[in-house]
Order: sequence, then structure tokens, then C-alpha cells
Amino acid sequence: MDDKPVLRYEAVEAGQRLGPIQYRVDPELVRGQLRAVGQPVPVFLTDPAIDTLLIEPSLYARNYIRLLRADFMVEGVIHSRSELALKRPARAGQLLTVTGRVAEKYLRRGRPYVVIESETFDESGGEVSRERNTLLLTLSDDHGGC
Amino acid sequence: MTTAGVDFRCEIGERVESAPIAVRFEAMAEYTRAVSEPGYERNIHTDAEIARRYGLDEPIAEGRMWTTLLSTLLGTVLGHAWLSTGALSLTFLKMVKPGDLIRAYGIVTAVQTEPNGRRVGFEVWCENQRGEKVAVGTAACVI
Repeated sequence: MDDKPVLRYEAVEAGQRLGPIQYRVDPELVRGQLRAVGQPVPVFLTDPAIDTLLIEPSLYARNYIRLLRADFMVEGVIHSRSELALKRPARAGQLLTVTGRVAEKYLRRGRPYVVIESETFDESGGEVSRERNTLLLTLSDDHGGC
Repeated sequence: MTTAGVDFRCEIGERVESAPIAVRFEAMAEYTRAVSEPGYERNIHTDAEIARRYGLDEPIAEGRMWTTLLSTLLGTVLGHAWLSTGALSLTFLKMVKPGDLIRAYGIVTAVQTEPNGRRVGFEVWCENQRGEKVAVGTAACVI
């Protein structure tokens, strides 16, 4: 991963395609994600009909970073805004496919922002989520966001 | 006010909230380890040295932790419909550090009848122990 270029404002262009990338969502990933925010597995993430765990959909909010890391070394990016539109449940254990693009880049008060749009698909090719994430690419002493 | 897991009446002005979450470094690191790709577990959320390199005095929590907290609150209140018709938009306002106490809130702002059910709109936010909003946004779902 070290031979990839560092993600910088100048290195991306609006319209640039990202992905597709694929990753498998281990059920333990879902449980760890929930455990870290003090949540037991909620009923809405279980499907008694097929006795399986469903993916907690906020996981899709970080697909942008998986897309970017396919092409860049990414470290210290500040997640400024997250938008998720959910389309269908997906069971844990599946291989997800994500496609995306750089939707916009702009400077606001001298700070560099990049907007990444993406779509996530399950193993059957069904769309499970659309995402739009706004990132601040550099930090300063008085930044907001996290 | 409705707490996650209690009957939701779907009325404008109805408020839902999570239990408070005490933020611990170990939990921040667990979240990042859980969701990160192999090889990328060390970052501003898990490593003090990297955090300092980026101008932070200590590691900060991933903003996505609050997306997870709000998503589980809304999913618990709204049920499986959240996974197929839910929408959540959040802006992260303030950094969250170990020692903070975070709670997620939502208030119903709109209920509209649609062919497939009722579209419920929410104003949502997460707040720290000082009453400061660390993330704010909107959510919607058809139930």
C-alpha cells in the first residue's frame, strides 16, 4: 500500500471513477461495530426466517474510504458529512461490491474538500445502499468534523 | 419521549433517544479495527503518534460511530423498514474524545401518507455531556 500516492486535493478530479472494489462483511465485523457503541445486536438486524445476522447499514458510510484506498494512501482524512440512502437489507457474510466516483472537489475557507458518491451491491447484484460522503483532506488547529 | 425498543407512535414532535454511550479509547479502537481493511488499523482514531502528526492532541472517535448509534436507534424504533427505505444525512460538528458521554436523539418532524405507507421525517443529532451537538442531520423512512 505504501507505493500508492498520498491522497491530496490536487490528485483527484471531479468525475474520476473509483472502484469497483469488493469486500466481505464478516458477522463479527457487525458485532464489533455494535459493541463499540455499546449496542447489543438489535432485533431489526436479525432475520428469524433465515436465522442470520444482517449488516448494520452505517457500515456503508465508510465505503468511500475503501474506494479511495484502492488507489491512494489515505490517512488523517476528516469525515465532514455522511449521507446514506438504504435500498434493501443485506445479510452478513456476503461479498459486497462498491462503485463510486469523485462527485465534487472544492475549497471552502481555504480548506480542501472532496465529495465521494458510491453505490453498494450485494452478491445477487441488488443495490443495498447509495452513499455520499464529504471529506476534509487536511487538518488544521481549528477544524470541525471528525 | 420514546426510548429505543419502546412502541413508536409516529407523531410529529415525538422524540426518541439512545442510552448514553461512555466513549472509551478501547471502544474507539475496536470500532476502527472492526470496520478497517487489514493494514489500515493504525490511524488518528487508534494511534496517539499519528493523531499528533495531524495536529490532534490525542486520538479522536470516528464520526461514523455516531452514524452507527443513530442508525441502530432508528432501526430499533422503525424496524426492518429502516434497512430498505431509510435515509440518514449527518454533518459532524465536533470531535469526540475518550471520556466524552454521547447520546443520540431524534424528533419526528413530518409524517406523510404515501402509496407504500407513511414517510416519517426526523431531525437527528448526537450530543455530548456538555449539551454540545457533535453531529446533526435528518433522517427519513417509509413505515
